[in-house]
Amino acid sequence: MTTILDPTDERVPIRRALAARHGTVTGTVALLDIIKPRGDVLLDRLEQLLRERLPDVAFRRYRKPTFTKPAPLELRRRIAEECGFVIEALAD
Amino acid sequence: MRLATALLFASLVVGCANSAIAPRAVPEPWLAWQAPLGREDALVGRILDTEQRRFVTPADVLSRARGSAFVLLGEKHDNPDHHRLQAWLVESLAGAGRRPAVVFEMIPRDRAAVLEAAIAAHPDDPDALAVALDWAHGGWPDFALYRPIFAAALAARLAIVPGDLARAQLAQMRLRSLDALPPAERARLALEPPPSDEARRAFADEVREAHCGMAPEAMVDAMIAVQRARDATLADALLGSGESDGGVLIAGTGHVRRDRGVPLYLARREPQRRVLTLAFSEVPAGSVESKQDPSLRAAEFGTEFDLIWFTPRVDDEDPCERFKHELEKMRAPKPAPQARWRSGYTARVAAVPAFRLLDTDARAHVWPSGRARLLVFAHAGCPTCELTLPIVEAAHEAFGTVLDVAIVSQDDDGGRALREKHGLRTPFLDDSALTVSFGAEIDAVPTTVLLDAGGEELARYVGFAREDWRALFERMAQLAGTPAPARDWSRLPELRPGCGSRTNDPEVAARFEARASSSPMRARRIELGDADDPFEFLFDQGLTDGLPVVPPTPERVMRMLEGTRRAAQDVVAEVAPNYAPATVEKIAINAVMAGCKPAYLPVVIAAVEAICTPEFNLHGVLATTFFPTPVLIVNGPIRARIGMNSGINCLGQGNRANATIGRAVQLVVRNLGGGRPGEVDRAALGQPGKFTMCFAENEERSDWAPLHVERGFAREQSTVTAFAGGAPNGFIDQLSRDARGLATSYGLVLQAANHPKHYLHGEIVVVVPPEHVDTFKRDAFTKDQLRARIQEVTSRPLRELLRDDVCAEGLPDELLAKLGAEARVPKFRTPGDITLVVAGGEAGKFGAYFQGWVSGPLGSVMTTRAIETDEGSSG
Repeated sequence: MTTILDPTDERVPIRRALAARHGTVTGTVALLDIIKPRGDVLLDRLEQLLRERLPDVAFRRYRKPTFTKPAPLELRRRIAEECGFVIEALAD
Repeated sequence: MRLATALLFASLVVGCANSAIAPRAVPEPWLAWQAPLGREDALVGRILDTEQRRFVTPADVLSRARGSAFVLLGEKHDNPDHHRLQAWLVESLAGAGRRPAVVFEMIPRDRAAVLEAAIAAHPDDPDALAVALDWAHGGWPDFALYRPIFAAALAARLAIVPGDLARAQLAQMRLRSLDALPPAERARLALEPPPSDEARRAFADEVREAHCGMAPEAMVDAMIAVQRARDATLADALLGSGESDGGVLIAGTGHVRRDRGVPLYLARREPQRRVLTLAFSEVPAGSVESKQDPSLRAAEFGTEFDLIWFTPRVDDEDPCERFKHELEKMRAPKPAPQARWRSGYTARVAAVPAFRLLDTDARAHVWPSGRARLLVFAHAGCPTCELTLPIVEAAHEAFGTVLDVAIVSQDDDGGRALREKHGLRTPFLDDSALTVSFGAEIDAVPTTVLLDAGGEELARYVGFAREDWRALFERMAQLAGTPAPARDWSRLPELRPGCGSRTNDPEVAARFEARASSSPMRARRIELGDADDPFEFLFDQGLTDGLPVVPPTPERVMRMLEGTRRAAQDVVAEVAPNYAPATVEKIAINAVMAGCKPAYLPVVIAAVEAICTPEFNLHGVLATTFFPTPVLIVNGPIRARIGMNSGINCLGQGNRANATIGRAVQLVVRNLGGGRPGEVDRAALGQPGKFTMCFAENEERSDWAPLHVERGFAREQSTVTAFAGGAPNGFIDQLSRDARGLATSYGLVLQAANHPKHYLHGEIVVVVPPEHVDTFKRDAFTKDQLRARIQEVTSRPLRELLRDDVCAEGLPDELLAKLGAEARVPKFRTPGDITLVVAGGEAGKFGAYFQGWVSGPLGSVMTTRAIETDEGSSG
């Protein structure tokens, strides 16, 4: 019998349930630009189309300081507090 | 290993002497010196007060000792007069009404229970304490020398307190230096702050001198660490002795120095309590001034001690000569296992572990059992074992009713054949799995161990020595309370060497070290079924980079861990994207899988540190759809030591160090960090450097400062530099014959990096081959000149670099307003972004560059880390 040692970090990932789906969009939607080239073009067009379809919904724009690193905690906290939905433009 | 040797040195300088002296402390030792030499010296018997620079009387000494909470008495261990003076002081202090504890450097703190029990059983018998403490095998001079002190302490009913580090602690310190002590314990012992640079230098000089200039330089720091821990522990024993009336310390002179010995730690912890340090000093040999007025010689002595009491000397043997002799013996090539002989070997660290073993009749034998025990470790095929067996049988017959006597067999058959061959009744315990042999650190067989009912090891002998066995029979008779049976010992040979223990087989040793409970490894063990192919299993679990990996068995990982001095559970970094803690052990496991040798491990560790810094931004490097991956460049002496390639084909295959170091780092990212392609690793195409990319700079091939020196490290410091680079892009210049022309080529080539209109590029690494180095050297072209020429050649008017209908790539229009259309823009943001590294084969005018990624604070910044090696961080 061979014994080997585990090369991984041995952590069990936390499973999180998806947020409940209500079938409707209400409140405020975050549009997050990670500042990759032309990400703003995509978000502009998306916002325009969504405003036509969802006149009662508010849209708020956010930007990451750099696309090379995860969004800072403060930005994530602000989006979570201010919005019920988030759309992120990866633009890749 | 360094510390282990350090401790051996320490025990060697203790020396050894045999000298019988009077059984009780004499009232005035100075009336009848026992040490033979130098008695005519006028200094003998004088006591120097080093601060007042005057001589004082024994009555003055006693008076000052009475007024001090702690009296530290520094001795030369083998001088009987020093011990008689110590005894006189202890007796006199008690006579004056003081009740100090007497703390001995010679007794490890883990013997406290044994000592206490022995004192309770024999409150007036110093010799019983010597037996209980197994003084004869502790490495100290004959107990007769120390007897007067014990006698004085017992007579006055003073507490006798062990002062030295526990043996298990010493064993840990061999491996981990002061790190073996938890931070809270280091703080409690007042080991912080460490000595100032000046104090450290003085300490180091003392260590070197004490070892006659023969201590390996790399060991000096470790020796200082052990010495400091000992001093702090002795101080702790004095403070924690439970005696409110202070303490007397019996220790070597070095421990009682005021500037860095025990007094330092007493002052840090209880500065209000008064300390008196008294060193006993032998008058020097061949002193021409021996008839001079001692007052004139007082100036020769410093103020390391409050008082110095001069005595005759034991011998004129040069301690350095003796030390060299011992050292030579130690360094002599070890004999083959079959001819090992170490009579009286007592450097025990591990006691016999608890066990449950079956004998050849399948009866279970359990240890500890509440009974004293004699164990003889043996295996077949060893003539000395066979010689010993009948004597063990005799011991079994004589003492078996009160003492469990057994052979611990290392044979695969549990000793069945050996027992039958000799027709023995002594039980043979089956240790074919070697777990007990390993746990008891059996180095050779036969090893004979006598244990008392409480589990304390009373004696251990290796090989066969007639006198050892005769003494052992007497000890067993003592334990059993019966007279030793008459035996004709003269019929036995005087000495026979032992044989190698089966635990010394290299593979077996590593396996059991890995299994032992003291193993530093904590990773989950995965047992594979007999039908499982470990290589296929590792593929199936997604633990490889697509090529086979070496199965990380505990033995291999244990061996890998020997490549570093860092503790296995030290967390080196947190590895993105999962920010998993990378312990030294986990890195070692992945290094085994990559195929590294243990000597490469320090490089892998430093590389993991480098890529896990916020500046390097491994998370972004992984998650981008672009090409970057850690490109590792190694500098400094370690390149040669581990055989890295900085020459022909150095960016290619074929060199184990280059190939496996880079691969180990990639496996750490994959297995620990969770950076797997298609998951957080989003590279559109990827590149072969994501298997491995690591090479060494050929520092010796050019006059330019090498990479690590440019980045602020000393040339003799080994470093690894991590750069988030793409695959190497080759380029040609075979025709330039002058530096400027060649530099022009470099500029033209680099202009196309990433894209010809992709300007204001950040960091880039350019590998300059030896033939190009020669061309630059011919014109004394510096690195800065080359960088400047690249910037000059690549500069274009902004209007040519803007995004337009012909080519959508380019610089954004916003720059137009800032700079103007005709502004000349260089390819790189600053000349310093161009990193030049010399490497490659002697022939071939071909260079290469590693394109960068988003560089700077918003992307990834090149990062260098020092490599810690056995030679210290200067390796």
